[in-house]
Amino acid sequence: MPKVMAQPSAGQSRSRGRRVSTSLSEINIIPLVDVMLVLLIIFMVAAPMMQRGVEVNLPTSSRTQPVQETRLYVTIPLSYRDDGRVYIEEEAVAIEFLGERVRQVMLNSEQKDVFVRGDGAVQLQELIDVFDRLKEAGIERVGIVAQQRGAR
Amino acid sequence: MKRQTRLQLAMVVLLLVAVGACAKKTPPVARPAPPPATGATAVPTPPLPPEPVSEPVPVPPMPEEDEIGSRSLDDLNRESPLQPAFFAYDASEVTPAAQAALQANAAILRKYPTWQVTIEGHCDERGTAEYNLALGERRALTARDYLISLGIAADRLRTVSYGKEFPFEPGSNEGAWAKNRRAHFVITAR
Amino acid sequence: MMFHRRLHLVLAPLAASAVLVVSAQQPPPAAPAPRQQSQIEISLTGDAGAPPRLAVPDFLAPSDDPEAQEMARTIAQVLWDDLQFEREFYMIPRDTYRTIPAAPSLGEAPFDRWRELGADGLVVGSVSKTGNTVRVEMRLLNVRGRQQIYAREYSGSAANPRLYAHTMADELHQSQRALRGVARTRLAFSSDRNRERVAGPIDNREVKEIYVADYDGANQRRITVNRSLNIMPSWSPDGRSLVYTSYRRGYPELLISNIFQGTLETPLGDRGQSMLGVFSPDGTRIAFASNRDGNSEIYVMNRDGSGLRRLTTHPGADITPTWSPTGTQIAFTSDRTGSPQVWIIGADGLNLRRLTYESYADRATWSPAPYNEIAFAARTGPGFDIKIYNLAEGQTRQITFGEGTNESPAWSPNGRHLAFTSTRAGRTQIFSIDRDGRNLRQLTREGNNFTPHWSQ
Repeated sequence: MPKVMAQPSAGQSRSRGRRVSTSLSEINIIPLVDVMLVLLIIFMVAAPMMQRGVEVNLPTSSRTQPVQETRLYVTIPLSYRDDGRVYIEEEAVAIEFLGERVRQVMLNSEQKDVFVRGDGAVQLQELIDVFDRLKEAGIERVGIVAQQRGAR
Repeated sequence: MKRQTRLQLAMVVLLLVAVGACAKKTPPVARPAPPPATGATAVPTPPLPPEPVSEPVPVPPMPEEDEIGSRSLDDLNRESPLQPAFFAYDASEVTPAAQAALQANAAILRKYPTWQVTIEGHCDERGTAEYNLALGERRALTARDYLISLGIAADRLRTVSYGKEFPFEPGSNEGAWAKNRRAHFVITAR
Repeated sequence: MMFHRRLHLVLAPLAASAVLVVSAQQPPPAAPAPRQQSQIEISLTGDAGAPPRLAVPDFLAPSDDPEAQEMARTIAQVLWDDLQFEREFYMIPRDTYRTIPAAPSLGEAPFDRWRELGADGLVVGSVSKTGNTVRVEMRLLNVRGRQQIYAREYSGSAANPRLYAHTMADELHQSQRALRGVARTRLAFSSDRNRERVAGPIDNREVKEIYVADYDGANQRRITVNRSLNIMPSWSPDGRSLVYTSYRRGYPELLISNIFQGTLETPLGDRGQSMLGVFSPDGTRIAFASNRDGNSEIYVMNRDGSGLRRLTTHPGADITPTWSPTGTQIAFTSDRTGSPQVWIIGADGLNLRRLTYESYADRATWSPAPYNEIAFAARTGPGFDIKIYNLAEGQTRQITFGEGTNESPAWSPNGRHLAFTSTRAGRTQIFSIDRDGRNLRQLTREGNNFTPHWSQ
């Protein structure tokens, strides 16, 4: 299958160069490493996924309602402060794309609610950044996910 | 580090974000010209047009008859001695008022037997552009037939339909519409 | 948890290098795209069942020529609009990717960023200009697979950059969605915008002249200059001629304007009044209405005026003919039952039947295949709305709903859109709308504009 690049990108030439230097007499362990890494990563990602993707310490509240249905979750991790990325379900998305990505998801969805999971230490400004983008996507109701006080 | 909440423990505070409130649906723009209460189709006798047409003895231009013979065609048509015949909505029947106007026109055409006339059929804006060409044509032909029945030679009378293309009165109200549903007379030769 | 996190950090760089190695094991990049086109039999796909999501960033203009740079922006924007028009792709709004840096060259798109934005496909291109000649390259890239799916190259004059975009849009629709696009089609209509007055004793008679425009309303251009009433234009199938109704001699007659030669034909000469001409689908015949035999009837003639044949015979008015896509039937308006309704008759004058049972229906327009539908204007209150009659199902549906009065529908050549006039924005203007009533666009804004017709 032809590649996109008219000129190969820097990354490709580097990696190709490395392969060229591999002597034929050596055992090529790269496929083996590939398989092992892939297996490892799947487990690593899957473990936190069972608890809904990205790990955050939810704020607590004494007046919460149980989550009724599956809806779109947007997660604001503490690392948002550093890299400007939030998560739609499990996928990291730059904050400037959040509105468009949510719009894409909502295109064929009757339910226009979004639940925001944020770390308890997320600042109000950061929360508002996210709200702005959701508003841009036409979202009218946002739920904030919290933990029942006293629950573990 | 605190243990992360399990899904079944996850609770939610529904927070209403003031997002554009509920300005979701804008009401459809009203039609610019709602009709008067006279009802839709099949109005045989709509309110009579507020025109001097209904006067039974329509010979006011007659005193200047000497001038009429000497004026140019353009001047003649600008203040035409020939009156328009008005029609009811979506109709091409000659009403009593239109009969009076056409009879007066016939009298003038008999007095000036060399005049040639084009009868223009016009419609109000409420029909479609395409069908109004047919309706205007039928109005012009009805007026022509009536004049022929009064003894005017057919070869002096041409017809043309302008549909709703050339309204006499702008505006979207019964007053304007009534003035625009007409057979209009243009003198083309003296 | 802490343990897991640390492992994650350690393994992440390893994983990245593994990806690099994997990509290095794939076949090496193909040679640069061949001159004309490298057309690989792959289509862009989106998520299951969903239309592919496309982004069209500004084209690159390697030179500093400001005209080339302006063209690069125009082409990308017009191409986005054209692709949006058919609704075959989800077009990612262009203002959402202002933060993605322009690629240094056509092959080097920052695929990760485009993936993050949700793009399945990316249309990139470049514009280079030498003298008066422009060379425009376009490539469709698959963001997920990081590969080229489709590539085209064009060269020509710099006069109309929009035409490059329209051509690309039609070719992308054809190659990716097997759809005949309409980006290079045009609209003809009549307009009173130049506000000239008809010479004569009666005041306030405004001239209407025939205009043509691109399908999206751009490049509006006046065709007639006879300072009278010129209305109801209809394209010949080859898009080189227009037949329209002109009052230049004080009564309605059919004129054929060959818009590229600048010549005029009067197929009927002085033989009576005629109006509302429409070319048959093969362009050899014209159906029209005429009162030559006393009142308005439907006639068919050859393009040169020979072979005149009367189809209807009724004291009621018969007007506004339209051809079926096969040229074997004609739908028209007749008020023989008292109100104007749409009827159908064979082009041989046989098999007359009534189609609509509205309070008032006019200006039928017969959709091209594969749709077997007739659109018309129907009275729905004080004004009109556009309705569509499905001939196979015998069902009528409505696509405009009382916003202003809506008249004079005309199908696009692929049957997916209609042009029509509406007063919803104030004066009478031309709009386009999709056959499902969505995707409304206003195409004219100057003066009043009437009776659109869509070229093939």
